[in-house]
Amino acid sequence: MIRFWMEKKWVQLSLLLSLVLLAVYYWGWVFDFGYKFDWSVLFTVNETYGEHYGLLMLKGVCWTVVLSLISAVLALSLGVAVGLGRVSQFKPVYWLSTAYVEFFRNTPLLVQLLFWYFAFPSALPDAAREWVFQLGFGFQDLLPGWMSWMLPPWLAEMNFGFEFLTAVLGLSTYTASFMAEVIRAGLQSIPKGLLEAAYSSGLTYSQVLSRIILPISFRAIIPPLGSEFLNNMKNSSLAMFVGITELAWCSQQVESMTFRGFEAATAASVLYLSLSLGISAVLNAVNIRLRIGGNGRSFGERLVNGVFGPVSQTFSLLTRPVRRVVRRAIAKRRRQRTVSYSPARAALNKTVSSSWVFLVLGLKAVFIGSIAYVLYRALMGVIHFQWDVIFDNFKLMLYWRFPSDDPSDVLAGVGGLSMAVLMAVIAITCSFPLGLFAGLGRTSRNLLWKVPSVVYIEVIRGNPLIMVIFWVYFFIPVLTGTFLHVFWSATIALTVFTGAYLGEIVRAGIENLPPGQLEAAYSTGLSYVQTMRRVILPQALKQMIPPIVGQFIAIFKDTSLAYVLGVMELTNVTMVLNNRIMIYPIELYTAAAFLYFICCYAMSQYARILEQRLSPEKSRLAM
Amino acid sequence: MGQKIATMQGTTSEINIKNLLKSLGDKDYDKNVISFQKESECYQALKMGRVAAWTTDSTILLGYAAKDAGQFELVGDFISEEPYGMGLPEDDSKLRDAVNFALQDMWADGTYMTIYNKWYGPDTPYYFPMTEKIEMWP
Repeated sequence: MIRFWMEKKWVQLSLLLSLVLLAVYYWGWVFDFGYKFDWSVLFTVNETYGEHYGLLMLKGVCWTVVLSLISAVLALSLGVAVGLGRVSQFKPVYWLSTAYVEFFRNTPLLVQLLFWYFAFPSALPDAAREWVFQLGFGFQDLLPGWMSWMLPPWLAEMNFGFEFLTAVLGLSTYTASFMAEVIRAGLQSIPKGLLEAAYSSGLTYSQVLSRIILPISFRAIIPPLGSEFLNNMKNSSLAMFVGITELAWCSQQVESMTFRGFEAATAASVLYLSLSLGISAVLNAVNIRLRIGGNGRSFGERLVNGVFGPVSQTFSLLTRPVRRVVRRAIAKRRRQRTVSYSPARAALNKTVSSSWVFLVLGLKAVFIGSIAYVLYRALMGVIHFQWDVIFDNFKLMLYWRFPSDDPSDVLAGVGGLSMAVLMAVIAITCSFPLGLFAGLGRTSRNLLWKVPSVVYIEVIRGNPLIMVIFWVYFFIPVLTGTFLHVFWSATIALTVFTGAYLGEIVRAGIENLPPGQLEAAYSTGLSYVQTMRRVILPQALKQMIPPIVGQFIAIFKDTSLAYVLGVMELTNVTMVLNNRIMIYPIELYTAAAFLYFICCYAMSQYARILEQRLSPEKSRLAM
Repeated sequence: MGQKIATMQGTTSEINIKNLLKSLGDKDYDKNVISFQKESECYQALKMGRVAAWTTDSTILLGYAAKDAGQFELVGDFISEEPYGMGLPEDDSKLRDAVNFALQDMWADGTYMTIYNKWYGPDTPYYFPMTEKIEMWP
């Protein structure tokens, strides 16, 4: 009886609505938060400080948008270059690209940013450092003078200095390594027969690249590239550590000035969510447009075609005369071209092609020479490291003060790398049931499970990890009335964050199974629980193991963000040591980056071996 | 003026230095103040030369200046007069009175200055002459 009623959509919807109303009533009117909500702090000018904090957060959004756009463009160009290098036949280029991707993917972004901002300037010669420090330009300097009246005041007052440049550098090199892997996977997904046919028809490498490889792989590259762009936007929240006043920084500012953490975090989350949802909407529209097949009847297709159709029609209408002229010119040139070259032209072609070979050889030699020089300089620098600084503090970096009898140290003084490992292990084990239920709820048709799972996954995935950490830090004490040590706040935040991503992995695993499995299970009379437990989940979990290991690597790198709460994990230990010792920042940051790199690289190699062992027929690098 | 100054984000020092720069006529007062998250970051920025100065509570500055003897010093007048206070639970008059009278007694019989000279006296690395007096309540 219950099952009959529960299958009806209106029953599910009304139950959901009543539960939501009940929750709103309880949390709104009955529960005593012990915290006075004051939403006006966002909408009025603050009397004590004379600043409008709502507008401050909007300025923060401005910085976030500018930062993510510029770093995404740079990351794309760098990523294309490195991705092409990853499929190159020239071994030094291949090794350099592989080294670049492996290094920048396996170190946390926070450590990279701190390195670029605090450690890198001491490696520069004095004159260069002075010049870099006094850089500062705004939009007015980029636009010609007569256009600068168009700039609204909130854009005109943005100043791009050393902080902005380091943030852009760190973000773009980090995102470029991910984009390079995406591009490489797309390039390698082209069937070999196409390339063989192209080469046997006499096309050169550049012709094959521009006319066959890039257009076809475009379709495979665009969706993951878009999600990398989204990740870049969320990672821009880390720029607050180098002094950029973007959205996360602004929410912290509002919280410090007015002590209204809840309101500030809500406003920042809403703004981040709208940015994420906007970018995802654009991505989905692009995916729908690029998709082959589909009869144009689904809602998404109609919406996208409804928007793009008129635009492309007007565009082609307006450019019709231009296109006609160009077409006529091309046809005319084609008619005039003769099959055979004149002797002078043939001689010219021959000299050009033979000198081209020499030119390429020369470029290769120059490349090898410069790489060797850079390596030599880096090696010299590393040899002249103060190794005793690193060795003296290595134990501190590994496990801080364990074992410690100090009652104020959490978990007997564990810290550094061991704390990072501990947090990552706790987060991934506790988030596994959470992610499982979220993923199952996401794939179910019952709205009662589906809507909360979708809301949970989308809200958490739309916010950067910093915001989730702030939420847990502010919200749990208010909710439970207890005081939580920062270690547990950070671990809970990591667990909640990983749960959402695991939910998506579980959903992908379940949806990748042949639908016949589910149908066969149901038609033999198995219930939902039995189907999931005995048929679907075992197969899905086997598929999911490589992405889960990838998620573990990401979580391990994200433990560095617990630095913002003051947890003594590896990044915080490095900062503390740097503060103590003061004169060897490069050695310390390089050692920290190296520790992270070893752990993450080992795990990624393990993931690769696992993937090859589990599905040898389609072992391709997971993105 | 014209150079960059570090503060910690969200503190009164940040507001005070911005107002001071504005009153002195620096038109780039917003860009010249860089706000970091923690003291360690401010100190590192000062050490590497990114900023010319760091403004925060004088006790914090004293501690960091003493760490690297001879390299840094506190300059200029106090930008704002913000004495430290002790946070107590609301409506607890007995505890508040007990604390206040204990401090007054210490000031009256000289224990306060002894302790002060032990930590901030002329022989210590954190030398800072005492410029205030405690107000005596009846």
